[in-house]
Amino acid sequence: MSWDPLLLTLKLALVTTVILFLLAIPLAYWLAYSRARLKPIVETLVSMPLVLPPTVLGFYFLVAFSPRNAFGGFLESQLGLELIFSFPGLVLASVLYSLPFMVHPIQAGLSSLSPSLREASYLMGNSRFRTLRRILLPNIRPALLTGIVLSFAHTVGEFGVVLMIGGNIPGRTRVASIAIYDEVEALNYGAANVYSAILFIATFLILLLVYLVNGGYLKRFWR
Amino acid sequence: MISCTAQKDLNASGGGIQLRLNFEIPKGTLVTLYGQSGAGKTSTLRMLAGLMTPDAGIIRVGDKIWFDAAQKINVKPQQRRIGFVFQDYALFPNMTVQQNLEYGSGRRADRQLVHTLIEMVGLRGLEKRLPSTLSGGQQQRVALARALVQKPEILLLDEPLSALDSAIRAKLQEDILRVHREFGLTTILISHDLGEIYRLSDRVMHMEAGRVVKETAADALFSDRQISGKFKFTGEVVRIEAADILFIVHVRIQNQVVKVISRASEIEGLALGDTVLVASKAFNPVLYKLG
Amino acid sequence: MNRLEGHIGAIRTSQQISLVTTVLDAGHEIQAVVIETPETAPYLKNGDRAAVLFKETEVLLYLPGTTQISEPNQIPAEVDKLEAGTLFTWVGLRTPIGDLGAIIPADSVALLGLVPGKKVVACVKTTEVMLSGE
Repeated sequence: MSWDPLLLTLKLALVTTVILFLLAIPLAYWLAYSRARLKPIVETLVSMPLVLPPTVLGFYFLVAFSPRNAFGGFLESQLGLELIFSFPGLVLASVLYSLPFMVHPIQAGLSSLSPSLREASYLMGNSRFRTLRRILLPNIRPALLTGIVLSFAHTVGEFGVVLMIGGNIPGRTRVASIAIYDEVEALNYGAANVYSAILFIATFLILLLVYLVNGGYLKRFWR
Repeated sequence: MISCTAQKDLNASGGGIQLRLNFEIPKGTLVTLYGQSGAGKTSTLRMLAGLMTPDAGIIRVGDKIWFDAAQKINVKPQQRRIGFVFQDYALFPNMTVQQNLEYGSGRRADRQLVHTLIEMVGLRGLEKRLPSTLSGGQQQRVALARALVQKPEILLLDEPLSALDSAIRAKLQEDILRVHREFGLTTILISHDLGEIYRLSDRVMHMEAGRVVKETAADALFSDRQISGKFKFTGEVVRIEAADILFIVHVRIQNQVVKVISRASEIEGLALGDTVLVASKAFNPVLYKLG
Repeated sequence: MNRLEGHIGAIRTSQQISLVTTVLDAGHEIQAVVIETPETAPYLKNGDRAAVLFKETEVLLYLPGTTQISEPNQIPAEVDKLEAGTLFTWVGLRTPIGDLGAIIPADSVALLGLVPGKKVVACVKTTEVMLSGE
């Protein structure tokens, strides 16, 4: 067996989580406070990956970004962006696929804060951005942690989307979950077991951490 | 002078209300908004603060226009310089008492003012505490001090004392009155407590179904509205005891307790904690010069 | 508290003080001195409805025939009930202007020989009568 799939998984999960975090805060802010008519539609779209088979997402990705189609061809020829069977493609797909896992906790956290906190901050002369940074985000830290960890763990565990648009290219797109499938196909149960055990333990530890922290068991360390 | 003509249709649960406001409040007065819940009192404060946008109308403060629907003027809450004490206090849970105050005083925190305010409302020694570790009365004081950090001209208080017990309330009423005078504020208070209204306010605006239906002096709220007794105080019944064929009712007025003789029929329905008006003719009392 | 309804019949003012005569619905007059004038108190207006209020402890009783008394508010009455305490006795009175109550020293009951049916006069000082607008 090789460590590459595990390192690649880690890298994918990290990059995805960072992008998601930056993307989800404004999105969750909008969803939590906006009264736009468009909101239910956006909410539905954000939640779709929860119920949609990953292969559906992967299929449309494949169709949209294939260099043989207009949009994919344009991206490749004009921007040099190759999204099929490449790491950037994997990241993009993972960001979309794990979006609800980051957006939902943050949105719920923001909605749970009393509106008067925001209003008090505005009335004290503070901008929306400063209010978000100094008042809102610090008071939803458990929700932020939940979003980060769930997105990370979910990206580690994804399979269908990755297989559809990433394929199985060692060192580029072969992440741990694909590697396990691959090893089993080759009847190489020993290697599959090592990958599986590592993922199993890692995921367990990550989730355990969330529950410990948000349950207040580790309050001394998270202040 | 605050002058406000504003309209807003609100959709509340159980039927909406239509706010049709038209009032003026002279600079430096303390006015109470009085009325049933759902009459539009909080919405009125929110429109003055810029937290709610009227559908139509003009809000003018002094010579500045804060809102004018026709001219599309709507000054942001950030720029209105209003002190607002929320019913839930809205203290920032992640900040200490001092940080709560300094957060409001801009980039270069006016430490001297923060210090003065902390001193003024008796929070000395609690500067480094988080709001969650304070009692209700202490939290209320932080909220009051914080509302003043911006040196506002207008202070809006949304049922600020409703969650507190009566002894602490009396103390905080003094605080509110003191800051109102010392900072030369125009203050608008929402309150249901008759004693509180009488003690604090100059005028009372009665609200019903989204309108100010009348404006009166504070004592007009009391029973037998116009009673000629010159000795009139509102207080709280703290004890009732029997004496011979009579009863002695102990009434706390500010921080003194007076005793009033009553017949059984007069104290029927009177319970401890009730607000009462103590009235007497001016011919009985005698004066002693003290000191 | 005794409360009697009527309307304001006359107002005599001297600087800040007024002597207000209230004509009760039952036809008797009660006078009250108040530190108000028609300018300062909107309810001081001839003909307006008003109620007079006075505490039962401020009512004094004497027997008919005693005529020379400095107070104008004299109401002929008949003792209806007595409620005796150690120091005080509450006397329920029936009068032409309605039922009144008086709280007097218990010892005075024997002194005046008060029993139900006895004729007395109830008196209240003008300085102890309060007025209430409607």
